[in-house]
Amino acid sequence: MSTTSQTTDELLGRGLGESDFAPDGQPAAGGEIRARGYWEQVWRRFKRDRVAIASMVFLVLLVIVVYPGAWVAEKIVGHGPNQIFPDALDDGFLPVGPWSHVENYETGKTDLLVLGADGSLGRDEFLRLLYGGRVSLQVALISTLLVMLIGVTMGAVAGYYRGWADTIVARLTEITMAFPALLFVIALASTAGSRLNGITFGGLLGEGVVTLVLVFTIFGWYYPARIIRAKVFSLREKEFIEAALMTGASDARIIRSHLLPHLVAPIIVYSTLIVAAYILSEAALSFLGVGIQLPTASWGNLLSDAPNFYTTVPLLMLWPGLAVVLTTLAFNLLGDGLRDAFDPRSRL
Amino acid sequence: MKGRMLASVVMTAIGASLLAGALFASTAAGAGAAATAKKGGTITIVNRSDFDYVDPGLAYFSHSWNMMSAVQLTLLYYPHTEGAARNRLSGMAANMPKVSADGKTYVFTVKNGFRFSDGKPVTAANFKRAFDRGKNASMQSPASSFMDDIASYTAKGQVFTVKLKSVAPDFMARTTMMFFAAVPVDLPFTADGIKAPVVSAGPYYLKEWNVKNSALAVRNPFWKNNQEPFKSLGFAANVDQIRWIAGPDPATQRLMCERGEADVCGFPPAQAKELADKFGINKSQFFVKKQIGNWYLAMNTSRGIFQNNVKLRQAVANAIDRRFMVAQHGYLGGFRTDQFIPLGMPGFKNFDIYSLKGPNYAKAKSLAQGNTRDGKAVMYTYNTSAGPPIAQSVQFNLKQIGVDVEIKLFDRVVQHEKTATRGEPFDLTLEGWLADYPDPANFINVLLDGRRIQADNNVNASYFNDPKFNAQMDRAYKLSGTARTTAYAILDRDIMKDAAPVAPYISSGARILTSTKVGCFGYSGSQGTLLTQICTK
Repeated sequence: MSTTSQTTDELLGRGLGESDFAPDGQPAAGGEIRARGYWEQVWRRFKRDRVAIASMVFLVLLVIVVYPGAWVAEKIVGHGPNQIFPDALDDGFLPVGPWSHVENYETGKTDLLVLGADGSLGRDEFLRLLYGGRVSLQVALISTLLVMLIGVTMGAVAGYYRGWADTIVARLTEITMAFPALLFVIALASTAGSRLNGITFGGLLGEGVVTLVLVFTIFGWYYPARIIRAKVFSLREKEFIEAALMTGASDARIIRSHLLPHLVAPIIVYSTLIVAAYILSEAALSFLGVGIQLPTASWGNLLSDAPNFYTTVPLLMLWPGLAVVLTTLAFNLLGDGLRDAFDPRSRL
Repeated sequence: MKGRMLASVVMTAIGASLLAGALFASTAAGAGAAATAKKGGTITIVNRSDFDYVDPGLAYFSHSWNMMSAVQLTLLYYPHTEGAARNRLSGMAANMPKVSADGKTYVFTVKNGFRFSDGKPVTAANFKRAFDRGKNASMQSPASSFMDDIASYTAKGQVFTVKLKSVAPDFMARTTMMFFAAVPVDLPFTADGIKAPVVSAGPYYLKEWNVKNSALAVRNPFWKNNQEPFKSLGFAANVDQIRWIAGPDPATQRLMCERGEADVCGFPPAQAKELADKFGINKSQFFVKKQIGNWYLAMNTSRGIFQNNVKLRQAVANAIDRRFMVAQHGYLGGFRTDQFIPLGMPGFKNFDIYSLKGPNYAKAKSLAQGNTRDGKAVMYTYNTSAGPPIAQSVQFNLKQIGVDVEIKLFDRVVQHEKTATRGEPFDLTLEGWLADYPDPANFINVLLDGRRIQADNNVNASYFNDPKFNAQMDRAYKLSGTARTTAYAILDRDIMKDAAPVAPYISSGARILTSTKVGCFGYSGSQGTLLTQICTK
């Protein structure tokens, strides 16, 4: 036992925990022996990982801050994230620093810029950071969700059925991989770009989010598909699958109930990795005129504008940079915690 | 010169500034010049965008013409120097021409001794070929719009004769344009232009051009700087090679100059103040120079919401925040203006047409009311430096008058190629223009005369074509001296006020960052960095 890092629960086997036993190791007198479910075990393991819990709390708070929080902040400061403040530049045309009060020509009042101005346009850095987080999270999370949904489905089908299904998925993967993604993006921008950018589902999403999600999904699904396919290929030969087949379980049930739980770890790990990658990719594609449309803020475009001021107002790099780093870190740590919770053997 | 100040912007670093004008003008000439020019070495210039063409018959970007000022030989030229001497039109390949009594015939005698980089002598036929290419329909050269009044031209030995349909006071100035530089007599007519190596007759020739990447000019082996006819031109031609690098963004350009990886660079407008404080102005590495150029918002009068909609165009001219737009060009970037003829250009007269202090929304809204049509406009702009923030400023301003602007960002070269094509679906575009030569017609006629519009390579970005103003341009064009400049000043005012096809906002200046390696540095308001004078330490 001392050579492993497995917990007592894990070594005692499913269903029985320390609390179910008397000090001598016998079942507690009069106590009902209750089997713990799979998800309950996952949760028990997960909640012991304080770093993962902290990451989850951070992400929940982040969502609160960028959704209702941004709206509340806008009401408090009295202007929107795209409001331009000509007076928020100093004599050298540099943006003013944190906690500056500037005149709002539209209302005639003096407004507070909590983190100062965002650049030469003199917009509120704080509000743009909040609203930018909203857009960046939308792009990253929705893209990740769709990529994993398509990728896992394709990979599981290819790995489980093999044969023609595998061939079709493999060819689709190769075609997608061989396709010049950048060319597609540019073509998309010049043809359907403006129409796609305008799809916001009644303002629920930022302008351009749909375009980016589409691009990321089209060119992102095959990575998880290949990972999942390989994993399913090996799981397919395991005894528990044979057993399930012998009991007459349907293919859908086997995939859903027997294979999928074993795929949670790679899914979680890969998801947390690409969430961060999509946040950064958003900036690059916006530069090509695809995706987030000016003046909509995103962490990506806040970051891409900041280097112009790196020598004079370095804080402009710090704020969005910090937001991306902390969010990325939180997703990764959460992913680690979830992986360990789902697959405790991976900690050996 | 190269019209499109294009990429310049930013791009080249060169952006610019007329700055408190006189203040720096006095120190301009020779500022930063080393006492002794060292011969040899390589100077590296970094631009955001590549040349549009290296073919003199097609190139029209400011930095393309800047390159050509070192490699091409024109009939006449403006001396490569700073200060007043720069404005004296002088003979280059030819002496000043003999002009007939009626002012319609010009006889140029090409000097003996000039040779192309392949050793062939320069004759009148080489200039005739340049004119042929300018007029050739398949070339679609911007030069054609400068040749409408040419009745005929002939070449015989060293004598090149041009006959005009009518008197043209700016004709000699036009011969300084790179379109009309000497080219080999067998240079083909091609819409795509020739590629490097380019045989040319200037002090250098373009040996390499790696499209969208780099270019290299080396000495013309037949250029003898210490003997006539070369000597009197005053080209020091100090360096052995001039290299251009295309692509790095302004922030990277600055780093390249500071690390010594390049010698003439741009920088983000937001860093201008810091650089001025760090290096001083016109003292060592940071130069602020006069420039005869402007930036403006062109409204497409051939389609969309601005077509036959003067009131909305006037509303836009009232709504934009010129003070703020100028701020986007950074410290010492230029002066606010509402006029098309830039400060420093003959014909500039200060009129009070639109607010320079900020938007006049009240007037703009009253003009826009009932005239916004579908209320949607597509704006093209370049994707670096001041391009995106200026577009966002315009977007914000126009939203206040009921016009939703969709911004489309492009590389500057792509933006120009698109807006230069008739029928391109844009409503607004951010444009700049640097004087080809010091004459107001170079702004008014060249950029606003609708009869010059062709299928491609247009510089009339607003596609403005008003018969009334075309006729007034014709009348002003035939005048000379004070009458000419006064006529153009009034024409400028009337077009901006009554038709508003463009909304100028800045009379720009130039700011340049150099490496510590640069010894002599000079700048011309219309030509840019004086490549024939630059030297290393």
